[in-house]
Amino acid sequence: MNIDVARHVIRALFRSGRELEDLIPLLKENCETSEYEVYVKAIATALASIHLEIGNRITASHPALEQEIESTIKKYGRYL
Amino acid sequence: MRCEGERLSRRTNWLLAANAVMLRLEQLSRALDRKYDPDQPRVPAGQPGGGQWTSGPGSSTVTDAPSGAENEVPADDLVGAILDVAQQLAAGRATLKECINLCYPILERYQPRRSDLNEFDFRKCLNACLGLR
Repeated sequence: MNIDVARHVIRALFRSGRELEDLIPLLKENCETSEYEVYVKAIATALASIHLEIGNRITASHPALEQEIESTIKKYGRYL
Repeated sequence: MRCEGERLSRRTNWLLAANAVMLRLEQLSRALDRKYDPDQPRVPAGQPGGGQWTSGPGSSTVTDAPSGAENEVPADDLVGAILDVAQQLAAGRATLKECINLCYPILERYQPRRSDLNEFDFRKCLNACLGLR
């Protein structure tokens, strides 16, 4: 996988993660505490799979991307 | 005998780390409960400091954050503290489930919509906890 494709995949990972993360305040507001706890941990588990199984594999192949992701998110709040 | 000693030592380290995690999670829970009060007054628009939190009606005191927040651990410090615990857990070979339980409060931090920061910090926490980075 070349680095441009790698960047594209990483963007897709964060985009998918945002969709899931955006559910957290909604669930907090609309679920019982015990129900919310189950869902927030399930979302965290899904995000963990996304980043550990796909993200880490890509950054292992393209280590320079790690710094690029961090600096872009610190500067713009998201990976553009 | 030696194996048993090592096992106990690891177990002790694990319990210490688990206590630290519980303490931090309690602090986080208190911070989340206290930080946002929809009824806390703000300085009216058009006045100096308009829109900012104030300590009460007619008060001239403008605060930087909702009430109760001043005694709480700032969000960045909290992430730092969770990352510290994550590194301790990594030494004890934490499981993925333990790491998720440690790191998920990061996802609950308030962030502007469309921000990737929570997700990025969550990933960093998992990697630290699992000893991957």
